[in-house]
Amino acid sequence: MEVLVVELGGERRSLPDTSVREILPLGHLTPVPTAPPSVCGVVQVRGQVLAVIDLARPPRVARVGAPLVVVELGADGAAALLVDRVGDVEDAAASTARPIDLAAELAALRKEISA
Amino acid sequence: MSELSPEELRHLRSFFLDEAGEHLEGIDQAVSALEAKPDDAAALSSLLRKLHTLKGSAGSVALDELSQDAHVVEDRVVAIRDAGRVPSPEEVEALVAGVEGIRRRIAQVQRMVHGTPSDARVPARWRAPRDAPRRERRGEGMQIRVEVDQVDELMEAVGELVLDRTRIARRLLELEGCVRDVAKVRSALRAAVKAGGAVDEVADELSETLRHLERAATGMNEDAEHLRRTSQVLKEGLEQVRMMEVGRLFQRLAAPVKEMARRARKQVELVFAGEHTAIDKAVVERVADPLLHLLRNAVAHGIEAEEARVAAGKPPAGRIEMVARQRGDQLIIEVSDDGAGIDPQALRAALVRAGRLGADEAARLADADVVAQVFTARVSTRDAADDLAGRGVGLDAVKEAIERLGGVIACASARGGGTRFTVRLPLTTAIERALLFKVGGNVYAVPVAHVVEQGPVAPADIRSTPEGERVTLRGRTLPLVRLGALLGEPPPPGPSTRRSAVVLDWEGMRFGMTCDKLIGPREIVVKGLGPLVGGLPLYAGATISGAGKVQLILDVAELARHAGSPASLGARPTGAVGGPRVLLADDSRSLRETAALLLAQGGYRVEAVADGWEAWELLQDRRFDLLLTDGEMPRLDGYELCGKIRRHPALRGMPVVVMTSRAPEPSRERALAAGADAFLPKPLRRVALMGALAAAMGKRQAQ
Repeated sequence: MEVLVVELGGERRSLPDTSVREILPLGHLTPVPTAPPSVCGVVQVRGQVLAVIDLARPPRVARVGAPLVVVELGADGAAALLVDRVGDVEDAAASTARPIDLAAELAALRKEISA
Repeated sequence: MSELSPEELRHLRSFFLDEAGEHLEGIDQAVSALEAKPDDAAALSSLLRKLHTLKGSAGSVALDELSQDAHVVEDRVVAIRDAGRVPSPEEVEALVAGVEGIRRRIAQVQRMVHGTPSDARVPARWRAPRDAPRRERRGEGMQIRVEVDQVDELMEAVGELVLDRTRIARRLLELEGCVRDVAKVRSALRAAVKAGGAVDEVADELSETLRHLERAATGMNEDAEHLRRTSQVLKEGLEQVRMMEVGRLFQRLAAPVKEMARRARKQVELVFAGEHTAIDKAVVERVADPLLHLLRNAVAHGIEAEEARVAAGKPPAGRIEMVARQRGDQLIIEVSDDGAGIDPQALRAALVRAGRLGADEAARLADADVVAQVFTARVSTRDAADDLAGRGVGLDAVKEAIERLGGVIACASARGGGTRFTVRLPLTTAIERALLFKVGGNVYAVPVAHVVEQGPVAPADIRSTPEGERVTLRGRTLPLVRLGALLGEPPPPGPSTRRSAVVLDWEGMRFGMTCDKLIGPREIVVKGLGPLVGGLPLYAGATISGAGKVQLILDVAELARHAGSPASLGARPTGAVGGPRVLLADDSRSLRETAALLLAQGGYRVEAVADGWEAWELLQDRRFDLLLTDGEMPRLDGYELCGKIRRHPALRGMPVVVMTSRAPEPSRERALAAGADAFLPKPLRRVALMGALAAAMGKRQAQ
């Protein structure tokens, strides 16, 4: 299994290769005023509206051109993660990057939204 | 019919079922009309016609028993008509019973065609494969009936489309001609100037070309308008092919519910709302049974016996409501009753008995979470089975049927206070006419269907009352929701006097909504926000602008909830992102990063740009509470930017903080001379930064 390494909040983190759909620069970001701070807003990617999520603490300013990693979230559809930099694809077993637990992050976010 | 193979017969019968559903709908309507008004001759002859057609159709696909049933009822109607008299209540009752028989027979055929039920009480097609409830692509394997007239109309519209294309191609040639003419005029002008001669003749030529251009522009306008009309016809036509009003489905469900209530000896009042909401025809067939099951449950288990209702202080007649509405790209159907509700204690016990929950677990779960488990297979809170509802066993099948359509179902119940099932189904084509407007530099939309009127509003028209804000428009006072406050946007800078207001209607409740600027009505394609952002109640969906920007659609029900409530009285609603908005301009990336971090930690929201010009452009478009700018920057420096802001009528009151790493004293003087409110030396220190921002904002607020 392979992982995609990204830089997030100054740290090397990894995402399972299978959950990554694509990587693209941030275009126009529409703010979602009542969303929790880690939801930077929404963007459109080929006609689909995706939430832009910043997992860094504290969340930062999303700037046009910042790298986005579109991840598949199963029943939750897809979302775009805001990262500082996109790194290499590494072997999961050998990678020293700290894995991102998408399911847990998402569950926390969903809880925050429904609160 | 013996010449047909069983497979062929099955195929034909599936077509018959589509048709039979429609006939039955007509029959129900006619019978209802007769129940209300027995001397309704038109209803009587309509009933006769429909029965006759049904009889013939059933016979043609070798459904002899059904054909016979229809024949018997038809004969009764003929007898009444030929006698030329008004049917007696008993006769109407007999007709109702006869129609019920036909309905049962059709249901049998349905089971026969769609598969053999393994459980007599739950039709087989509700049962998804237990291990993998596969989500079908919507429309897969579904058929819809389309009238030939409708197809002809669409063909005609396509013909118009081809004409439009030719017209535009011709207009293009005209424009190309104009371009050539302009080029000629330019050459002539050059030659005339060179020769020092008169340019009158050139001017005449130019006027001529201008006239051509004007003509072409007018023509283009007409073409665009024509194209808009054609696409409108196409859209409406296709909608008619694919969609129908949900009220027709409701009507179809009403008759069996009445019949069930009669047999259960309960008084039930059935109330519909939102009947004009569009529903996918292909979905109707597959959602009818699950809905019927919910209604059946409401009659059998929800609504209490009359004595119990009276004892509980409720009206003797139970009330069942079916409400439909569109929310973004979803159709929502709610089935609710004012009955006894689900007893969470009894459900806990049933779940434990069924082995679904451990006793400890059941005790720990909150009531709402217990109620959510009502869809679990084979759970019943009543012990004796009766013939009215398929018992608790039905709800798991209902859930599966909804999920197979890509939808979700939820249940909420209060003991003694009734039960509500909410079904959400995805819509295939969600094109809506929406009113677009701006708040805080962003574009939002509401469905035009809810818009009553729109126009400017003066501050004097708005006043606060203990119940919240009220706006007076054309002599009428309405509750008000201030969108800027609801969305956590600061009020526009400067002495903005006139704003725009939109009067909205939600289920008969009228309220006003203020926004910064109205844009106007547009046709929009509604997109879903996904499960995550879609969980926020304020947004019903999104649409994508021509420039590719996402625009949020606001949920009118949620706006109505906020209208006039003290929460919208300037106070930030819970969940709104707080913090003043800071625009940060600095050409150093690392400074931007540092400042953004410090500001975010201090509770500010930050937007960062690399020079004064970018900042100036952003200020035209968006609203900020404060500008934090570097003094020295390329293109437009911080001092000039500050000066521009102070000269701008709307922005002049904005707090500005200038930072610089140059010699402090001259820089400070320069900054203050340009109109800055505070000055900040670099490198940035947290305490100094926060102090300067607070001082600048305080200074402006005091003014």
